[in-house]
Amino acid sequence: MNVARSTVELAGVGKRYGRRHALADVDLTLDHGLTGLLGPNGAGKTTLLHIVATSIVADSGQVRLLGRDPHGSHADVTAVRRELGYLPQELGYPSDMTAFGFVEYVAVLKEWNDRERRVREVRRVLELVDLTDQAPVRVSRLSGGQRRRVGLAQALLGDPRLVVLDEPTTGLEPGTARRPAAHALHPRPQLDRAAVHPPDRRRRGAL
Amino acid sequence: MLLAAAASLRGAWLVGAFLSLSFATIAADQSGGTALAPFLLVAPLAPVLGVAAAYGPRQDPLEALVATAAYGRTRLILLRTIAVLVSVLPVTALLGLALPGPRWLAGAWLGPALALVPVLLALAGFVGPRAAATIVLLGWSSVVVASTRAGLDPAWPVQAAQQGVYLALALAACAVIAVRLGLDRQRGVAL
Repeated sequence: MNVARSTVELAGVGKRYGRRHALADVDLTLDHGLTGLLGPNGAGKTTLLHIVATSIVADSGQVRLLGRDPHGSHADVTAVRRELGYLPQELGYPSDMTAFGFVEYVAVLKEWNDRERRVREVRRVLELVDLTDQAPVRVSRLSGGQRRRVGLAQALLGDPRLVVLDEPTTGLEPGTARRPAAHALHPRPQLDRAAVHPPDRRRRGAL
Repeated sequence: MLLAAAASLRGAWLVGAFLSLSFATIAADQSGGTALAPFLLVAPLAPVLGVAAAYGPRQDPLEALVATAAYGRTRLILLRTIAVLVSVLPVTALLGLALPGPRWLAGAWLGPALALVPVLLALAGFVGPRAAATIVLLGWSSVVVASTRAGLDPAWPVQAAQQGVYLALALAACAVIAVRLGLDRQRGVAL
């Protein structure tokens, strides 16, 4: 296994919730590119994505992301998180935040401390998901699909090397509204990005 | 900006806390100093409840993103804790000046307040902020109510001897947090 080239490496990873095994002895190696996870409900796809997104820790096995151990030192996990974009399956939105304010809030969490650069980046990702016109609108007034695109925008902040998307197309209508998501998900040649997401089975193939 | 998603740092919560503290102060004032319990009950709990409402999956809709952000959940919680303390403590201290009795009473509630906040944070690492707040609330209420029922001095919960206990409690809670941060495999969940 080439540590330097692999984006995601899991070896013998297990995770339990009480007595139930969500994951048992999972080995997975992902290099650059777009990868989709397919499986029945309850197969552990979301648990796997949580581990890759560093939001939960595996009970057993080894995890390496972007060549680092996310459960090692504080510096390692912070370094991974700086290059990680994550869209959870269910994302809450503060009702009084605008689309721009929401993405900017996440940008601050991602340590975009320079205000000028941050604003420019927020505008860029909102444009990527075709929400430039909706930037000043409160998230609570957006449609479900538009909210999902706001969520997608925050995951793309800073062109992260590792993008973890859980059900990214939920709520997006077929056709024009899905194009921004598809555009955003497909790695462009100049980017060093891997995306891990379980495709929506109803619409797979469109991404 | 990082405080924007914290429920307890919004106007409605702060107004509610201010009104509760005001009524507790008025009640203590009207009793002529014989019934400090309402103020001593509410004053240390206001920052505790404010901190508990400032983070956690049920309080912060962005918890899922906070948990994976480079900024760090622990850092964010500490920042919000400081923001809550800065919002609540000065107002409570000013209201405390209106209490009948010796002047030291105006600031004596700070001892339990500053002890209960780290206790809350330490407990929350095990049971979550909501349950931790309930435990702290019940514990502190028991101290105040029991001292009143026992016919002790109205200021007993904040007298010098008890302040030593609060200091010890605060140090113990900080030690628990420090140990958990050191052992933390999943960065950011020790709080």
